[in-house]
Amino acid sequence: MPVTLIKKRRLLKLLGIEASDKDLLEVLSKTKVEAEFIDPETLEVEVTPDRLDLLVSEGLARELRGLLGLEKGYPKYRVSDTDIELVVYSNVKPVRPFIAVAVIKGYYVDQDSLDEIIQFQEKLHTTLGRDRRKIAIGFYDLDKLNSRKIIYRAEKPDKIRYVPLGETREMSGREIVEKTEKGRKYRHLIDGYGAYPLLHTVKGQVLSIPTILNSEDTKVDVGTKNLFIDVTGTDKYLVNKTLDLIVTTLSEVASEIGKVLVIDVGETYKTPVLTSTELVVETDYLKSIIGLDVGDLEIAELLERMRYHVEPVADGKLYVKAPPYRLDILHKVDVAEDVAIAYGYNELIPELPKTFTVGRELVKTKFLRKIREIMTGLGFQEVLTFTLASKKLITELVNAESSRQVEILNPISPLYNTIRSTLIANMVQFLKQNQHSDHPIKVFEVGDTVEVHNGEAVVKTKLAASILSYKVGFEDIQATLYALAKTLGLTVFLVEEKTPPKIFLRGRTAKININGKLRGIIGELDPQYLLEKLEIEYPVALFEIDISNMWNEIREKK
Amino acid sequence: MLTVNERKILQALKKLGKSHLSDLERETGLPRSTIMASLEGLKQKLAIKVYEEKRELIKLTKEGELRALQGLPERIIAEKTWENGGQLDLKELKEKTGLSDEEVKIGLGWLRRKGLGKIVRGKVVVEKKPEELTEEKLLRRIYVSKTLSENALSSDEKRFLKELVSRRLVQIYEEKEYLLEITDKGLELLGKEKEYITVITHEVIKRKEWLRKEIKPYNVKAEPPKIYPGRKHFYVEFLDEIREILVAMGFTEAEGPIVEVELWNFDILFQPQDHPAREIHDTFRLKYPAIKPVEIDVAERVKAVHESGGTSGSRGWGYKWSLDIAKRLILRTQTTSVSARFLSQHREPPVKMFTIGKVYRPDTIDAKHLPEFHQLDGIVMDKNLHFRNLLGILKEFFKHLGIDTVKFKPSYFPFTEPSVEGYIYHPRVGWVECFGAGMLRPEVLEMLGVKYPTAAWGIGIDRVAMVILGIDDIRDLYSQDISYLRSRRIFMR
Repeated sequence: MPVTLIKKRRLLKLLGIEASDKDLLEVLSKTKVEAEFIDPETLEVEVTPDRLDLLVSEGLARELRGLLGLEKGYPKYRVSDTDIELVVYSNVKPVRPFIAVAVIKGYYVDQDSLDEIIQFQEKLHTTLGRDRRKIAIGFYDLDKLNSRKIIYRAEKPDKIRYVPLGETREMSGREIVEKTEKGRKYRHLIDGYGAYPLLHTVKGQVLSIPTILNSEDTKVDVGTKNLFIDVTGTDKYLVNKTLDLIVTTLSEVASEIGKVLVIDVGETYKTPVLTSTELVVETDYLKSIIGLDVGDLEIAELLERMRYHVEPVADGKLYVKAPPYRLDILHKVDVAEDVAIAYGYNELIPELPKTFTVGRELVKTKFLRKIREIMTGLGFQEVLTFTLASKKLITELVNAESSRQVEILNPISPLYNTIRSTLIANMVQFLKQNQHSDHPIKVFEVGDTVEVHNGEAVVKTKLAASILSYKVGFEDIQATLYALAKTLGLTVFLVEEKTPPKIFLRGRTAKININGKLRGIIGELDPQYLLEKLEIEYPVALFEIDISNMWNEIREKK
Repeated sequence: MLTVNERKILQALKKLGKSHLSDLERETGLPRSTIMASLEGLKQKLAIKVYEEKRELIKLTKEGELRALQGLPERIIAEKTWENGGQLDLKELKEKTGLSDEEVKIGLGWLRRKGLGKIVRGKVVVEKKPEELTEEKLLRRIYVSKTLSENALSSDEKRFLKELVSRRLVQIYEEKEYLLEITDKGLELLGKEKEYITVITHEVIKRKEWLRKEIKPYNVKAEPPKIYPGRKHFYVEFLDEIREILVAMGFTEAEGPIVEVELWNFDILFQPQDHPAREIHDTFRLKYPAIKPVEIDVAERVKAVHESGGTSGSRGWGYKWSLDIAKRLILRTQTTSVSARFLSQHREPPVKMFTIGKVYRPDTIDAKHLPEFHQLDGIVMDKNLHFRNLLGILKEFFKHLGIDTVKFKPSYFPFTEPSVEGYIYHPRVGWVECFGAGMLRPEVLEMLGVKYPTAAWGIGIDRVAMVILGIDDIRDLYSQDISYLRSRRIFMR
């Protein structure tokens, strides 16, 4: 989830009240942000991805003022038309088709607000923008533009020339994507069309290559008073909503939002569109979701605190209008959540449902518990090892065919590039690590493994048990297996394994047949393999059996 | 009073007379270290006399070991010559015998000296069938017993020892050896000791031996030998307690596949296909097998809801949904996939289900993160179920774990609305965030074909276990150290 840093003094100034740190954190915890002080002056704020308007002080203060009852209802914005025009050329459509622009007047930039809007822009890029792929945002100092007529079009990289933000000399479009950090990181978004998107004035002053880098010439700095903003992208709805979110949030401290006339190929319209989500909701619906027993008036009041415009339309029905910065209202259930937030989650009284049901464990769970009881009764300590495992190690130890094991595309390490198809590999590692602890070391593990059969990953539940000691042999582990089988009411017999996996000792290894099915392997480990490959200096005997579905086989028949 | 080992040693000395440690080892069956440890006590009790003796011992050199296994070169030459009809050209010798130049040279010297054969006009001539040599037998004898005392050799063997030493096949070295003898005092102690019964056996009881001898008292303050009970893993024990609580609350347990298709892990939970959590930084994807067919009817509903909300009354996400992405196999990132599968099979109320299982995320391993961990998921579906019921269930669950203070906070998950995240309070560690929950969104219910309100919750049960079991490093929960597992006390709630 996105995180930003916010100066306490700025937030309190916008909030318009004094509050102790404790009270501030308390009220913040009622919103969708997680906040903590990283130093006495700075708050680290983590915002849920549905409420990105809370990433800056303006948005946070607006939310808190509502929750605290300092301000209610739909926020008021002064919107006016400007004399600025944007012309969109058709040649930019294949590269980056959509654009929306706006003006914010009377936004006085100081160091604190500059830090915040830079973070705001970056976080919107990574979240809504999916790392600038879906949308990208540019902020400019309106008063630095040399013309009121702006053009958005595609241009050949070599023909683009300007001083990019943070540089001291003029560069070509090609140089910008090759030599600047942002250029290298984001060029993949615009490469491959023969031309880059370009935003410039009719007088040839470049604002930016949208998605990549703004110009030094038009940059926002301390002292900037009026902002020009562009959002470009691949999804028209999102481009417009993102611009709505930005302008309605920043204009909390500005004097006015300015609309721009866009001449988009054959079409003419104005941006920002500033659309709000309008719904008619039944109060009973809202109350039933939360389990809240309050009057309709109180519901309306709660929604107003969440900055909705609310009007009763008929008995039990409300017309609600969510402000333009609310991108998260997909369904009337989203309005219900706002009622709960305004009421306060910790004010809601938890109540157990009256539903009567009889609970039950899985038969498998009960069976595994019985297995554990028998094995612990036989003196074995249970161990839990990772299910992520090394394909190579498993193949080497137990001759598992590679095609029997799943393979992870993006493992964090080659040691964890599959899900184990056997418990033996992990168990042997465990014994290696613990060989010098008090003997005898008698351990077992019961758990799920995954094998591939006919191209499909199948879960197999397995049990492995082993003994490591100064002196241990086949009989010792065989006695364990037989005792287990007998207690479970199963018939077991062994079949000599003439070609055992390398880890096992020939002549002292057998296949395990349980109730007529081959279900595992039992044997002593090969001394040379133990010492040289596994670096275990003591004899080891072990078995592994597949116990998948055994729980159903041994259940009492009705 | 004598210890059991002291007694064994004295008895052996009484029987054997003056003895070396090696004789005592054989007689008592005690390892040398144990005998050495007992000697000091016996000396103090004046029960034994200890003499230091220097002994000459013989052992093989590296070359000697090789010759013990392969034989001496003179005999090999004689044998090969005999097999060749009694004559063998000197030039063929190296090839026929497999010996080196040096060995052939040495072999020929000894062949002549020992009269095994002679050299006539560039040929080795052997006139009688060569037998195994006494010196070869000696080499083998030393090889088998590793070291031998010179005294142990027969007079015949002693004659050859000189030769073997001069040929650098055998080494003679000195070793300090203890020679032990029982004293009169020792005999007396042993006699007295006979009055004691140390171990009560079947014979002792049957023959009423306690009437004739006293039963030796134990030092009850001494530490006993260490033994360890067979035990369930402490975390498994904890998870069983969790199951008990949930079953008592009327929940039915379910399970589902670890290797899951994205449809059930993400799409059905209204996670848009370009959501960052679905990228490879946050999800393990499978290379083999890579895809699996999905239920067509479910996929159709999912497509409609994602693209335009279907008939759920939602706007949907407004993008082109891809079946190919939904079919991709991953390691599940949450057990909510199990809840979703269960709900799609149980659409009529009431439903109360829980599942405990492994989930996977590509995190690097540290005190707080593992790439695999357990999650506890639950759902309740019923007519008229509401958000406060969900809070009630969560509070009740933690109460049974001994946690009375739970804090709720607004949150966001793509599949629930309202959404809540929760913190539990523990005096040792303070507030710990450990669950996320909410009412399933209408979009999700539509995809599942469920018509009733449904509450869902997911608990990071590893974190809860750490809080309650007093563990600060998640790796200890999955400790691979048997002494740690053996040392953990049981968990009682």
